[in-house]
Amino acid sequence: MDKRKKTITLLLGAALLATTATACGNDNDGNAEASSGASTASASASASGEKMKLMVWNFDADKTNLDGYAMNAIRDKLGVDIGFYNSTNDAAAIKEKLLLQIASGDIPDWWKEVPFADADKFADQGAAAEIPIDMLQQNAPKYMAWMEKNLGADPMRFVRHEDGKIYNLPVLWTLASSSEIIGYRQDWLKKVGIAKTPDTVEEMEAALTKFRNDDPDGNGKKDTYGMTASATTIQTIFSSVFGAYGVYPGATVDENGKAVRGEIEPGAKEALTTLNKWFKADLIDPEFFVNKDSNVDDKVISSKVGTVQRSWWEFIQPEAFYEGKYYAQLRKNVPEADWALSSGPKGPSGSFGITQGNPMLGTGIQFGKQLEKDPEKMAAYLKMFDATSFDLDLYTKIHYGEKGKTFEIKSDGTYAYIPPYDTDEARTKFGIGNYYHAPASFNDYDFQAPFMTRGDLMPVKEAAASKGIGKYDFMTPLAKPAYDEFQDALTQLTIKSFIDFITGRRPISEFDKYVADWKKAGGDKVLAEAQATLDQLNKK
Amino acid sequence: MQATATESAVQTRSSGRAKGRFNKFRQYRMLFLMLVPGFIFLLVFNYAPMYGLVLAFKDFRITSGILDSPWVGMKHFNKVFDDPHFYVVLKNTILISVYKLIFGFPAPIAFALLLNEMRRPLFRKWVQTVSYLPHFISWIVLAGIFTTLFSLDGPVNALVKAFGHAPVVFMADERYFRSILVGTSVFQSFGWSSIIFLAAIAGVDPQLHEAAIMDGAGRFRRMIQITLPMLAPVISIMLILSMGTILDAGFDQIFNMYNAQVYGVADVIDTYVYRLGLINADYSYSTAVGMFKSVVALILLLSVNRLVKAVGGSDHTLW
Amino acid sequence: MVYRKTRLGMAADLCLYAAMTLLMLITLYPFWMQLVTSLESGASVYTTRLMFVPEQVSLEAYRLAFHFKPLWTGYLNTIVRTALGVLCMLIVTSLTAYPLSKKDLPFNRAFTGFLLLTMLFTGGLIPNYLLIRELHLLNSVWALVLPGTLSAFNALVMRNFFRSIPESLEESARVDGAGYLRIFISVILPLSAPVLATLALWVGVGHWNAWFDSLIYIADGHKQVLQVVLRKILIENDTADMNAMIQKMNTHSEYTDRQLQAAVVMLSIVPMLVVYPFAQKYFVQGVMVGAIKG
Repeated sequence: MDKRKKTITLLLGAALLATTATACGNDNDGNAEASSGASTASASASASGEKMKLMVWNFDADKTNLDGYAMNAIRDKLGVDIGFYNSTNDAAAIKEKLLLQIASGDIPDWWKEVPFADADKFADQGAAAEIPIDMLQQNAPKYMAWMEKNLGADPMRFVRHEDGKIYNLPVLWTLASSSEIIGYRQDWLKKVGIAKTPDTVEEMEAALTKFRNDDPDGNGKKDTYGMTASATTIQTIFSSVFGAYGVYPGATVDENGKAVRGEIEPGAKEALTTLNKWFKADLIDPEFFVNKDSNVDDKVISSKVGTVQRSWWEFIQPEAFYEGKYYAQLRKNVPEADWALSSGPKGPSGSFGITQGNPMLGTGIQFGKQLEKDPEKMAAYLKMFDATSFDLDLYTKIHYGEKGKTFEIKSDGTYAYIPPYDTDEARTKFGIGNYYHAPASFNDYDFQAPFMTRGDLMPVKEAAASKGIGKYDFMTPLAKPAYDEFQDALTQLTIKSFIDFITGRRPISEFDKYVADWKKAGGDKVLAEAQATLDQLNKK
Repeated sequence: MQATATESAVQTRSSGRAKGRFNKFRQYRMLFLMLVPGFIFLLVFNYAPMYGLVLAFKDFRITSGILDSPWVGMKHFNKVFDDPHFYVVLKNTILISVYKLIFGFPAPIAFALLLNEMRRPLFRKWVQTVSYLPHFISWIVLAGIFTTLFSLDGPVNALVKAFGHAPVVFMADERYFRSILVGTSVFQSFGWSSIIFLAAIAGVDPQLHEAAIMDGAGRFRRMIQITLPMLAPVISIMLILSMGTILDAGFDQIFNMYNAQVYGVADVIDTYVYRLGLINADYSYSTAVGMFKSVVALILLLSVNRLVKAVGGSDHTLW
Repeated sequence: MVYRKTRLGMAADLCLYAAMTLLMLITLYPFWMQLVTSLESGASVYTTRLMFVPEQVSLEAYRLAFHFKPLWTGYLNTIVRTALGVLCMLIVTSLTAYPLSKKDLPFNRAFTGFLLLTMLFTGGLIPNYLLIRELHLLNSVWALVLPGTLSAFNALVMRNFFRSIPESLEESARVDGAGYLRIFISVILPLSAPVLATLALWVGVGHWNAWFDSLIYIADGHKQVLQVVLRKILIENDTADMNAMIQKMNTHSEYTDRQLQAAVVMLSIVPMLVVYPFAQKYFVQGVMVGAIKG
């Protein structure tokens, strides 16, 4: 009796364990071969006797078709076979995933857009391949021409590694260096009786005063402010007012061969004085320093403020470029709303401008170390990158497909999909669209203009784009260990001090003390490093 | 020594006779067998990857892998401890965390006790369900809502103005910001955290209440003298376990709510390491910081465990 | 009802119900706000005011999300992952917690310490990825289920609950000749519904909301979980331009469309709310018994 019970208990125990094991322990064998996209791909790429296989990144598995029209166009054009590296379009994971792939030994043939510090590490630690300059010139001539057009001769000088070699193909986001502008509510200006867009600091002050006091939204309440901003970075803190005094905070700029940080220049003190005056006069959103970007959006779109700094394409029709958030969303509330655009107010000496972004905001493309031993393949990749980005025929085939079947060119020169290809689903099935990263990184917006802007809106776009004027940080793509070490402390110090000066918590007379603190907190080392780098660049 | 003595005493009592080690194992064979799957899981999924911790003492080179990266000794720890700002964020982390513990820990207990006093089942169900909702809403969204609530023309300032005071930019005021962090964190989590206490209350033997009612004990007295003591083991174990996360002051919340004006009081270890990592992704450094946090948590956990043991005996401790 | 209806008691009741009602309204507010935002069509989602009702109702965001085909496979994958995760967790955790609840078990302290260390020290992302890869679990739902199956926290919470079950119940079963396993299955588990439900809910919600592990371990789009799909809807609607995306990565702004974002929050919360009442009954059981008897 006792024994039987024991046996039953044991059996039960064993059964329970077995269920656990099958429920939790076993991985299903069916998935054993389905390792990450990268490893399967490189395995099949090494099969001999076939066409060379080039890999295209696929961040949107549901929007792409490996055997569709676009990929076949590349196959035909270059005489290669094409495979996909499957990843995700989630920024949070792309980087981690790549790092994990490399760390586990599955180095992809190429990758794009990792942070600068990572790209340097990949080069230093032997994960990224050297890209010989003559191979680049031979196989990617259009890319090189585009780079030269924007950066002058020897555009690769910005990415040359310490050892003098090139490890990445920089991506230029040409818009960055001229994106930030100031928008004034045109309808408000009209309402308060100002005929022309404010041009000087005084005129700007007059406009802001009226925006605050003259009830520009006509709701009978004094609930509008002249201007708002956020203080998440140094650049977002009223950069245009600093530009009026000739300084560009938040960026290391080249002033005739001298590396300068705008935040510690005398001009910054003048700008802070002006801003402090405006803050005291209640012209500035009194809680601008709490704002995140979304709060700024809220305040602009719900007509709480009349002046704001933003990328130019946010102020114009979405059909003229893209997004047009401040235009489209605002008009849902206020149909007659419009924006008067400005490059920022002119100061006493006639200076103006806004801190802009370095066009080399990302590291661009790197090749896996294994391609150093396979120059033919690297050359083929370079050819593919060049053709997909700058060859009108191939570009059109990838993005728009077959003329007369999937798209047509309208009389005003714009491209339009023909139904049923005006839906994502139909395009995915046919295998065309914007989701094929081969590499889809080099965007020559002059070349792409017909695809992005409706013909009749071209002047609107041109006018808005021409307003973005200012300087940018030349150090962005360059190695800067001192900056990396001190930037967090310096940035926090500057943002805090600027807000204190503007809001009057700290008297402007202490500006020099702030500058001294800044230098002591590592700022002098940052400047010395930047100067050395600049000398090096200008020598060449 | 003492532990062994108690153990054998217990054994003597429960089995009636002590027959040495072998018998002891025979007696507990089934219990050991039950531990096997958990043991395997821990070994495979927790202990096997722990070799990654050596990164704290190495300079991680991605192509060499973790094991072949060069040793650098205490370099990363020295970097952490030589950084003056680290002590600022450490202080902030501890303060915020301790405040959250002081206010956030009792809140769900009180809520569970009060909920238990409600005798309309439908209403209670509603309150209970609704109290969990904030737990499901991300801090990005909540931060936006709180920024609006505490803004100059928000309802909180309307109240301030109604009492004749000047409005305050609460979110940018070092005097109020930590209180806002603690308050909103309690708001977000009290309902959800109360589940475990409700579960424990559900286990309270109704007969105890009946007996107390016979003795003429009122509701409040029964709550304090019967329900609360029954919760003591859960409370103490939750308190001890919460020490394990004492240096996590709540990254998502703080990252989405802080601004430059309050960095002095709100910058915590996790936000600082995150900002450093953006510029210079350094796995070794963050591993070192993580290890520091773990060691502190371990020490605190053991201390609190000992404290609880001294106060309440070994019934309420981890071991 | 033996409760004495004193005036004091009534007043206390009144206070209690009033306080709870207020609490309910406060906690409901963010959720309500999301609901309103998700239904709001006008640009008034960009308002700085507090919203209580949508100005113009529109189901546009939901329509957009529902037309996103991977949404449904996402739901399915998340349900599978959550169910497997909760099931495995309950089995392994209770099997571990029960022996540890026996204070006289030899090496109990050592086991507990072994368990506790895993709560404090983790190996980090890279070794975990390599492990999953070596086990050939990449691209499998088990990569999402197995690593979190046994957590020290849950095991200790459950262990403590087991300890609070009166010894006498076990004793009487033992007198009947039941072994540990039988006691565990037929005595302990049935009495542990509240703690099992609590942990199931905790872990279930954790699985429901998890996305990072799925992004890292799952390459196949058809196997992605709901949260990944929802993030994708947001990102997709946000921008198709890689360069703009990089800039956003660098500046960390959250530009996403409010209405869509709110709809996405709703889509992930509502199923949880539907499930919740079923779990809830385990938390009030004892109290109900008490109330009826009392």
